[in-house]
Amino acid sequence: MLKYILRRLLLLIPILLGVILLIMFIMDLTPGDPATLLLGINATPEAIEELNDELGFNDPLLVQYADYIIGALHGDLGTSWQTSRPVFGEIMSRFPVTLKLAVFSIIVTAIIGIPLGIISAIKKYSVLDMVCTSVAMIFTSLPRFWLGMMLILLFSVQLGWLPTNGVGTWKHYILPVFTLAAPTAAKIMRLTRTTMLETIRSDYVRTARSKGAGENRIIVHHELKNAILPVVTSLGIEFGQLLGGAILIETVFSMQGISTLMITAIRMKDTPLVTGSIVFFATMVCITMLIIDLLYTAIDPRLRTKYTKAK
Amino acid sequence: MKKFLCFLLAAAMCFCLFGCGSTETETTATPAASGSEPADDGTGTGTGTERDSLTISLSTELQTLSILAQQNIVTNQVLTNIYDGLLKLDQDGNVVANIAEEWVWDEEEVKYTFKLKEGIKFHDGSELKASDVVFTFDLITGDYENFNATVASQVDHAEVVDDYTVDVYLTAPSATFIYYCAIYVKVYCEAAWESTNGFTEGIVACGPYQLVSYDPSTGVVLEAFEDYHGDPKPSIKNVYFNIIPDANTQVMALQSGELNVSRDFPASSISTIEADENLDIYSHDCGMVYFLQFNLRDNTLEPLKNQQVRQAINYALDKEFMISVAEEGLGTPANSVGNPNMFGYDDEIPTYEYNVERARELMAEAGYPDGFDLGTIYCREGKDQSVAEIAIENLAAIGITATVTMLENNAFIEQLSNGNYYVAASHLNFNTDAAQVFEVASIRGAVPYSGLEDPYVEEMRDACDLEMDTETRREMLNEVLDYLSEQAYFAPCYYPMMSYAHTAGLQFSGYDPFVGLQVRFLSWE
Repeated sequence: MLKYILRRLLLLIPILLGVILLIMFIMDLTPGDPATLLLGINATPEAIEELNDELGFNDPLLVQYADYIIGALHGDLGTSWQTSRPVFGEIMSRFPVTLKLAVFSIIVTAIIGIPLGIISAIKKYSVLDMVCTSVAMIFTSLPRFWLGMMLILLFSVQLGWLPTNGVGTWKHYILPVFTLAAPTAAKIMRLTRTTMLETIRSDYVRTARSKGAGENRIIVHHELKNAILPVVTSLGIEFGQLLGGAILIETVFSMQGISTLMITAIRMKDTPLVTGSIVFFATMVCITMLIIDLLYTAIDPRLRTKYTKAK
Repeated sequence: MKKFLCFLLAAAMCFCLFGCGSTETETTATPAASGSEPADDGTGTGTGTERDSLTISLSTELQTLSILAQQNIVTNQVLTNIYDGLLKLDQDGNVVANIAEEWVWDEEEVKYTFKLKEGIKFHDGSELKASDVVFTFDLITGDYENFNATVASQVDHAEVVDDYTVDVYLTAPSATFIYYCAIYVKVYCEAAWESTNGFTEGIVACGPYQLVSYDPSTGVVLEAFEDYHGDPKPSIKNVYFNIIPDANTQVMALQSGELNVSRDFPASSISTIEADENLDIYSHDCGMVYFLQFNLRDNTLEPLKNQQVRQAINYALDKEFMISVAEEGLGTPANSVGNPNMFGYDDEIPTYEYNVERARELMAEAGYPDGFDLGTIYCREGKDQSVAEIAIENLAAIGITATVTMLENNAFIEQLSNGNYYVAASHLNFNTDAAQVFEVASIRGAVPYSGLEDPYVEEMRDACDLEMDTETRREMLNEVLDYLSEQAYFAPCYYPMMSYAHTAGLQFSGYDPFVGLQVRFLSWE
């Protein structure tokens, strides 16, 4: 198992090298230069050229790439062209907001989505199932930014219960977390329902039931355990994406997270900051995926045996 | 089952209608909006809920805390309240005393002697001395010259004469220096330079407000500086600049009372704001102009080289309609890329009133009675796009066909600077002196996107820079603006108003058209 984790972590290196090259290549293709944007209207062409040289923007792509990798190996992700602050510091100042949003959202998603999916599957075609699937359909189809705005209008402007924007207190997180979690929970609910319905019909469930196993035991140990694998995958992917930030939610609720940082950096052609944020994002997604894979082994004994054998 | 589905659909519909309708609903006065009840959300940045506090929105985080580095408009909006200039501009754009109470030009030695006001305090309590001013000029002409190219290129060096007198030696006589000085030269505290890591981790200046805290994820907190030397002194004690990127969220925060001033509210929400008795809109002139930029290089379309065609385009533009669509009426038609608030502008500049008949006549005289195809009008997202879209409709009336292509900011700038366009819809934010127009009209300017190389313009550019007599210079600049208008090198569209949506009861006693919101001019009723 340890060997497997190590191998997966080592795989991060080529992935990150590729990601960095790809990002630098794309940023290189985009029009404009940072000095023009940084120096503004009164700058002379010489000043622009000088600053571009200073920033390393005029170096060939491969030289920039090599410089970046050497810097990264020394733990230096570079300095933001726009703010002159270290990229790592910039990311870390924004990451707590994004992390809190992602963790709370995924917890709310799981708490709402999975139980409702199970209930819907067990009580198939009941009124409860109808309500759950219909509400799920509505929430899946609502655009998040719109839902967010409607929630602000209702709970902040009309009722005055919650703040419209910011990140200061737990109250600030209620609306954005719900806005993020509602459509995902709906998706997870539908997925859980579908996979549960598949397992409900399977032979081993029928066997367990014929052996006289209790209904709760059948649901938890036989049905859910087999049905949960795709749900865990889906939750993992959602979580990985949330760590990359939820641009619309961060914008609507004025939460200065990773994605607003990245968007501003792209607009200002701040290559070090864009590359740094995406490297950070890629690392987070890879680690999340690794954790999900490890969770599989905890859930599914077949996989556990496989890794044990490999060892 | 059918009944159940109907019920569900009806419920969903009600939810949607409720949400949509609420933007038009008048809200009742919240404690914050009426300013009667203090509240603390424990965020560091907060809400202006008392009469001695105010919350203003920012659309992005600050780029820097240092006024020596390039700032975007958002950064400038905050820093202008903290730093104070050697000189300043009055409401009419004239240079007036500030930290320096008088200044004398010495033609022989090519220097300005500034006499500083005595007793000016920095935020740390220390007194501002001549050495601080020299230190400021050393920074501008030294490590930070790239960011202050205009002033850096004019100043040779500065010297301390005594504690309250400074000599600033120029590289050559320059009439614009004193204007740029009033706009760009803010005095730094030499003693605090090291401790604040070059003013990137804190600010010690002498402006009306002092920095309490800055957090890129929430915003800026300022506190009134009691020893501020200028007038008016700040009347609101605590100022919070909260970062709210989304314009619609800003409006909702205004409605809920969490925000007192929004600069970025969408024009489409003006009617909602006006209908709300707790909210108001304050507008003033600003240095911005929206215009059509022509490519005047050799590679341009043949018709665009013709003055009459360019004049016809100017006549064909319905500027009032552009203002009503893009600005909900908050603007005035433009007759120049220069701005009415500029030194050197007067009302005699030729104006192209909306006149399709006259435009058609000019097209016929120019030999294009059936018009021509202009290709693509490039623009950026936002109001430029509205201007471009209205322009193609207007131009169609005189037979000129065109389409609109919207580009991302960097792509737009690259397209224009390379001359890969015929016409573009753009805007510029100028400062107080009409010589700024040379930045777009002269091939040696900072944004010479038109590629214009007119010998008269180039000659006047040099002459205006060297002329030290104020009246003569004003006349010369005015001649240039007249000339540019006659030649129709640009098609100016309109001057927008700078507008703020704000909580009712907030008074604006003044403004700076070229700098933006200055909190010391604000007070609660």
